[in-house]
Amino acid sequence: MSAQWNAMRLGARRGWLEWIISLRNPGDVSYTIMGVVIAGVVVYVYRDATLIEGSTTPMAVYVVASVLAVQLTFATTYNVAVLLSTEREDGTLLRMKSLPAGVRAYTTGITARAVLDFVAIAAVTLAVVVVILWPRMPLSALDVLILAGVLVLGIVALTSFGFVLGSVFRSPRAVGGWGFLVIGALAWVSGLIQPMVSMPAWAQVVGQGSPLYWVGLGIRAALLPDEFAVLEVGGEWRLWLVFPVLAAWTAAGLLLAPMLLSRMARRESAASVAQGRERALSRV
Amino acid sequence: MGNTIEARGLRMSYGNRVVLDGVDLAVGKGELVALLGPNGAGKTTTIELLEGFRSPDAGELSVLGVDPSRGDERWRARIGVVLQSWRDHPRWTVRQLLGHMGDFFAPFGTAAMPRPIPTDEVIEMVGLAEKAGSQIRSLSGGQRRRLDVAIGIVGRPEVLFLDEPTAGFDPQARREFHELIHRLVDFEETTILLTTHDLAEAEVLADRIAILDGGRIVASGSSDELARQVAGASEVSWMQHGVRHVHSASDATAFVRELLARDGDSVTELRVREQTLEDTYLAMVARQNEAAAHDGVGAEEREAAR
Repeated sequence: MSAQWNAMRLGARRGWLEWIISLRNPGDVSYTIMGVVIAGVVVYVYRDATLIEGSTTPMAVYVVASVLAVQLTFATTYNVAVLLSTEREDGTLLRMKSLPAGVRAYTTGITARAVLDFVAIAAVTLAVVVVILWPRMPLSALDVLILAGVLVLGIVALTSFGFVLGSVFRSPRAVGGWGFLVIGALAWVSGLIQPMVSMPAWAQVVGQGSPLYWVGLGIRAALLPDEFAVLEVGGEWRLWLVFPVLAAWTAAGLLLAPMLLSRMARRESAASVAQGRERALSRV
Repeated sequence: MGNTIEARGLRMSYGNRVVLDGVDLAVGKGELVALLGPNGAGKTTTIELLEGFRSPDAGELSVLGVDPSRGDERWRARIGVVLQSWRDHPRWTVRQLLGHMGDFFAPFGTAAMPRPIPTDEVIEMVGLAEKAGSQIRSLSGGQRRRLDVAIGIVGRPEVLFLDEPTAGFDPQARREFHELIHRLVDFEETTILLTTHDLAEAEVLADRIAILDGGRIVASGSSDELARQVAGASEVSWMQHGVRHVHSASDATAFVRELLARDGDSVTELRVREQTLEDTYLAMVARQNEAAAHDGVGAEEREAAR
């Protein structure tokens, strides 16, 4: 067995272990539960509200699509960036660097954990939503396939950008604070808070440059019936564009992330960890 | 190459600040060498170059016959690194983390050199048995450092690097740590290089001490050899006509013979004190502190982090 393969295997196990450990942490669990509860309450409130005249599908399903896209962004881009900058500072990354193929295992572990985090919260959310809306969220096999495809591409693209951000920005406090605001702004401009067609023209242009918009659009295409397409730019789902755009973002992320990660890992040293420690302690 | 660790003409600067200015160092197989020097002397930089965590500006390096900056995973598996941990993996238990770290070395084990050391065995070695199931954040400072050592040795390394392993220890923890290191040296044929700014510690632990000052190895040898090499001058003091005189002489015997021959009757309270290794080292530390006060403290660390 080669060291690299062993490292991938150990990374997967590491991600699983970290995930299990986080399940035993009341703080982490209540954060997740709160996310699900808020989504459930919003869906419940809008369970009978109509968005499109004459459609049997309530507005709540539109909300579910946005909730999934936001959950995906936080579980991948945000969490990965915060985790990476935190663990550079606390010496986890340096520790892994001292092991054979340790950095590979480390990044595999973070990725595995992000996927587990998202799959868990999305599964629980969808279960709650299906119970509330039954039977008014019918999904065909094709819908499920589209949803799975969009989510897989979205996970890869957004996770790799989490690595990019986490290796560029050093301070976990800055990544955590500013990152939260930036992702919030990005979610709005990407049409996850209100339909994009109801937004100013400049926001529509900016929003379509964001991968979040395409993730959201793809999820809506899967979950919503075709009469909802009037709320989209051009009045259609544009699936022929969703997959190529997401694939391009994925390719860009997969190209950029390893480059920045290896540059960052190369620079990691005891001195930089000591400096991070000093900086963190001076804030207490 | 005969030596397990070998460095020649190592140079390193951060910006225009020269940290290492031609370091030469050789450590033989199974030897325990302490790299002694005041804070800011370049000890951490030297050890990080040997660990392959940084590349030198100039100079030749070899650890186990390989240039560390080109060391592959196979080489890395033969090296143990003891870091000064702070708060990584806080929610893992001791056993979980050591098991995980050990697994990385499994592909590199052979029948003659089984890797890793079984988790419970390594926990026993560092005396953390009763903490094996505890979360790492619940460990005391001394226990944490023992965990650091356990992580460093779990892969059964042929070379072990320890950077300031006892910084922040109380005397009790320090003695326990010294016992642990002695046990390691006795059991396995591990080659060990550790850094310290504490002369007493270097004298207790090491076969050989290399003193790093001003970016160079200024002296190297066993503590007895060093005392002779570094010491040199003795301090002669005496009373004469109610006045105390002090003189520093490289050959104290000759000086005293001459002094007594010249005006032996009036000399009283004659004392000859040999300048110790400690005196020399403390003078070195004082000089370094003065320089640091000039530069602003921690300049090396700030530069190093770039």
